[in-house]
Amino acid sequence: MRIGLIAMSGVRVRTKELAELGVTLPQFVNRGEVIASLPSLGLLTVAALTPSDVEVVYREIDELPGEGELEMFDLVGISSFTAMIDDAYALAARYRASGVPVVLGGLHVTLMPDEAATHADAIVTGGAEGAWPKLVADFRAGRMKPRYEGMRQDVFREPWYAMPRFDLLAGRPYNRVTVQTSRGCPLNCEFCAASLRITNSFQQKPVELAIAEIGAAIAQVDRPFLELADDNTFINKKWGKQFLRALEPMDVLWFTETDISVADDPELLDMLAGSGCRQVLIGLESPDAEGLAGMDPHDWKRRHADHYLEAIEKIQSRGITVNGCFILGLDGDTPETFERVRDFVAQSGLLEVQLTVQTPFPGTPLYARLRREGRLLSDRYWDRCTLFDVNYQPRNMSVEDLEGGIRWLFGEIYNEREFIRRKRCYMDILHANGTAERLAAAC
Amino acid sequence: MTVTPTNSDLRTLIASIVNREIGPLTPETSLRDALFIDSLDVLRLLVAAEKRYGIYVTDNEMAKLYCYGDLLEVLGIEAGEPVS
Repeated sequence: MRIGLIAMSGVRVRTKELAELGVTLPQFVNRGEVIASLPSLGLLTVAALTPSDVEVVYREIDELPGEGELEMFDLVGISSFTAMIDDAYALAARYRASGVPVVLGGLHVTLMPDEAATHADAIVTGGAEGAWPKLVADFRAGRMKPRYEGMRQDVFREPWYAMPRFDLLAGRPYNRVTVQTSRGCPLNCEFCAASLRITNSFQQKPVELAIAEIGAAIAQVDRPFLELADDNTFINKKWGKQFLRALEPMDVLWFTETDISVADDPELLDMLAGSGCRQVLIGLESPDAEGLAGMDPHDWKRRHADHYLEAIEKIQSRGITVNGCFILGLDGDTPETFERVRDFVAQSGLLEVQLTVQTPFPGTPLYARLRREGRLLSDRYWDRCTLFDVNYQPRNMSVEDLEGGIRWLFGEIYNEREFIRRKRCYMDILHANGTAERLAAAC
Repeated sequence: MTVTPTNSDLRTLIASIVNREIGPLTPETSLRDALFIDSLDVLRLLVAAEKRYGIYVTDNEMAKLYCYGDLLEVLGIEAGEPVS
């Protein structure tokens, strides 16, 4: 039996002016290329959960195959993001019309199961763990059911855990590999459509498993760069230190997403720097503390916002760059917010900045609230869930204000002059903290 | 104490920054595509060069660093023969 696992990735901004602006902004394009080069860890896990006597083919595509280009399998599994889900449904329809049964899974399918079920022979909700082996067995026996519910907890424990098939990445033209060390995030932000939506609670992978996976992943590519595919890697500082102690000897450069509290622990920061961490992506969301009120159930982000500048300085002084993320169009935002974000970025010394528009992904608490308040601009806008297109009525400005503000801020933040200024700022940090001296003397 | 920049010393510096052996370098060798030096490593290389060679890389110079030849020009090194 031959199973095809297809990741449909790639996102196209729908607002014409922003799409045109995006392709001309160097820093914006760079990060977009990196994201597009990341493999689908979910499907590599599905592959690992497939019986060993089944041939598994892993494919990544960003557009529908042309006529006559459909690769045939006995069964196809497709995973995609919300913004690409209609393309995934179209691909599913092509396969089903060709007589190949289709299984759909992933975050969007978990959040919108009834919709997805109308486009597939079977869907998998939650994690693949606990569902996929049963599905394959049922398929072989000719009794595949329309729905399978995967595990939402204990996913990193026997008998559910399986190490992703990193060997399927061999030969890819990219040097970035991803490993997940946790699933979910206890902050539980209203807008989040990431892995916390497929878990009941925060799931932490044991250090030895995470390290074993990293070893297997980096062995597949030349000059590997590791991205931890977590929503918040260092929630648990004790686990984090054990992990970094084990990671350091592996001599790998890496990136992850975490929260601003890493700056509160000097020992952790030193260990991050010593273990090859090059960048942490942190959801700052807004420079205005009041703008963060109610974003998470415990007002955690609002309570930490006053320390952002100090925290960024502490992290970057170790030589670890911060990619600061801001969400535009929050309910506390006004037309003045765009200038405040620009000024904050200039003051902070952030090397990299990620600007996105608040996006009510279907199935999230934000979606439910905006729908309840009658603020969604249409009933179904999945192809516009790009993080750059506006899909709701902002509270304190018009849609046009928000779109225009984003375009203005993109131009202010992502231009070559500003990027060079931020680079020089980071280089000055490396001079000041002794890194330059150490690097210069190393050869 | 600063060091006089040379082709071979720069090559050694690059290898130490990226922490691996590197192949032959010509002025056309792309930093990103051929040497797989990402943007952060370029910055680390530049601060190391500033410290080691006692120079200051200007904003204009930083903006046009795409290949090994650009680095040689910034550091005032004659390209000469390919170094390996």
